[in-house]
Amino acid sequence: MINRDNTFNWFMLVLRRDLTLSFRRSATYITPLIFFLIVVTFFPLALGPSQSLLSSLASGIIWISALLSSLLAVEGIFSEDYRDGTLDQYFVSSEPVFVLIFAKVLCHWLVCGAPIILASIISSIFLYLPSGVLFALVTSLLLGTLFMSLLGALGAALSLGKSAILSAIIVLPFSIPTLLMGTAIMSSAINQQDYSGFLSIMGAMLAIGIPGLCLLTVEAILLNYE
Amino acid sequence: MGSPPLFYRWATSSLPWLAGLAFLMFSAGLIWGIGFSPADYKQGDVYRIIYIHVPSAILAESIYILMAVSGFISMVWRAKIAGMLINSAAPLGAGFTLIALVTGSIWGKPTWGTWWVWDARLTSTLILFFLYAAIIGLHSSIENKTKADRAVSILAVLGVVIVPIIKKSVDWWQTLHQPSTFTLTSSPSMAPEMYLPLLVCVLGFYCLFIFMLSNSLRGEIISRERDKTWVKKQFFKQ
Amino acid sequence: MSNILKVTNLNCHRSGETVLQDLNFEVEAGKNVEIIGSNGSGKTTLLRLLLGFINDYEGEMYWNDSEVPSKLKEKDIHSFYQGHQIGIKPLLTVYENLKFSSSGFNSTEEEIISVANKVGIRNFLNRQSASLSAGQKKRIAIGRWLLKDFNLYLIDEPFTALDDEGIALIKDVVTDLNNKGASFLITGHRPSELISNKIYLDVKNDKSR
Repeated sequence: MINRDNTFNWFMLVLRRDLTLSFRRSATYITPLIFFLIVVTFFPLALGPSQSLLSSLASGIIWISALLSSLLAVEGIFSEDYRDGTLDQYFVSSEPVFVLIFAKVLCHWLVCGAPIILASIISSIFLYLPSGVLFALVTSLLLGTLFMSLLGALGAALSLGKSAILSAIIVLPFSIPTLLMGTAIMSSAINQQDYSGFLSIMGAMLAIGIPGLCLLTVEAILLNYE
Repeated sequence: MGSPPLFYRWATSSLPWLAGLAFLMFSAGLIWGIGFSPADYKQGDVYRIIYIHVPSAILAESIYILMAVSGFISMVWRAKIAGMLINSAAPLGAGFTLIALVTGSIWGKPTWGTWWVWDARLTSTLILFFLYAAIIGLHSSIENKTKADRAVSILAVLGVVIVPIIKKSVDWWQTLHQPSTFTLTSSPSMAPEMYLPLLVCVLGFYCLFIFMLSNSLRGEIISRERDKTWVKKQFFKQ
Repeated sequence: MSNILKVTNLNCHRSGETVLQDLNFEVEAGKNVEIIGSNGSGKTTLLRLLLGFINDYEGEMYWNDSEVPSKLKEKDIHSFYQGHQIGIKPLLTVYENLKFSSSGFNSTEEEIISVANKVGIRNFLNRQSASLSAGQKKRIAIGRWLLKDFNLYLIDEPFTALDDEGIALIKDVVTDLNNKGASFLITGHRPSELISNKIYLDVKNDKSR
């Protein structure tokens, strides 16, 4: 029987601890932002600075950069806790571990997602994103980066201790629906069409993804324990 | 069939039959289709590549579903064979996906003038190839093979849930960017002279797959269980 | 005397090697058990098996005097586990390492300060843990034992990195907790000065006495 009060307190413990740790180490939230901006910069460098070209490609470039930055940022989510024995404590507590894993992912998203969203707003200027779509950009990215953090956590758990590139090839194909939804939202917004349908699909994906992916992530972490 | 020794014995006795059946169906289908079916009035003789392309594509998807079911069984019931099956099936699945992509490309060149076209089917098949690659890559990176089996089970089960979503979204991405959709497969109404050999080819490919899978699994079992007594008995008896 | 744990005929094989063979022992309430062996003798495996991390074994574990073999989680035993890695986060202060722990998150500030006092780190409460010595970090770990009431403590190598004062501290803490009815199951390389039932895991003969 799960004591609900206790589970919530455990959730808050993990969340507060991880938030405190993330803010003590500024690299955690600055590096995804810088990486994002570097990747975005590469596109005009490679394709030429033509305003019309960049403007037509802007939402795609921003979305791809956001996906890649989220993925790389979440890479190390479990490595410290795994090495210093903190992860053990989650399993030894009688709490449902997937809730605690979600606390970690949520913290990670709060800490890394915000800089990425900020960077995307800056990039909209660099890439001449058509005006009036910032709200769509931020909303779609908020949902998209959360999904990416969940997927990335699963990839990190499966490839715990191994290369980041392996984690990337595992996770990226699964992020295609998110990418397609996100860019669809952007195209609709640019054409001033209603995109609430896409938002609800993304919301539904998250509703299933949060418990589902966290449960699978717990399974993946347990593999390293047997 | 869940236990390794039983499967091994079944495979050893059945393999010659499976090989024979596969060879028969496979060659019958191909010869009939490529050699004897009538030419398509629109595309001429080049369409004959569907006798390789369509079965490969069907197999590419079926194998993934098989891996996902196997992964689920392995996760819930911890059956060893189910876990090993994913590892043996994945390269085969990747191979068929690659054949589907290449034959699709070859078909496309005379039909539309380019080697590649981002239509919904080809794009989904390409993504499927990446999913296979992820499974193969993950399995090879984990030294403890039992652990590796369980890791790819998770991936396969996740994949089978995402694959329909990917296909739906790619389909719809296509319509978004190109109002007139065109598909690589022929229109639903195919004359029986074309349809029947295609069916035989599909069956032939399935038989071929089952043969190759059983063969591969048989080898994998021996390799994994080489320290167990039943293996030692098997080989020292002869 | 009630048994918190009774282990019979425990055997465990990992990667083809026998790690634990025919192990039998009991942990009585208020009494301690020490598992002693050299590196690789199976001490950590035993702990992780008891905790439920390892499920591939033969033999039975009876928790809380039950008639039927069970797992630790199924029985209402408040247990505390400390592994080889003690999980002290260098970036957190000593206070935070106590507060943000599995035993401390519901504790009040006064309780944490009082515990810090007992283990001798009161003066470091606001210092970042990275600047502490290994022995001082171990004291934070000991502090965690005191933040909540537990019946059973499973501690992997509690005495490493401790000086004489630290060892004396553990002895005091354990004796106190024993008097309250709690038991310790600890592992180590050498027998300690604790009053306990000592069980030796011998690597050479793969047997336990």
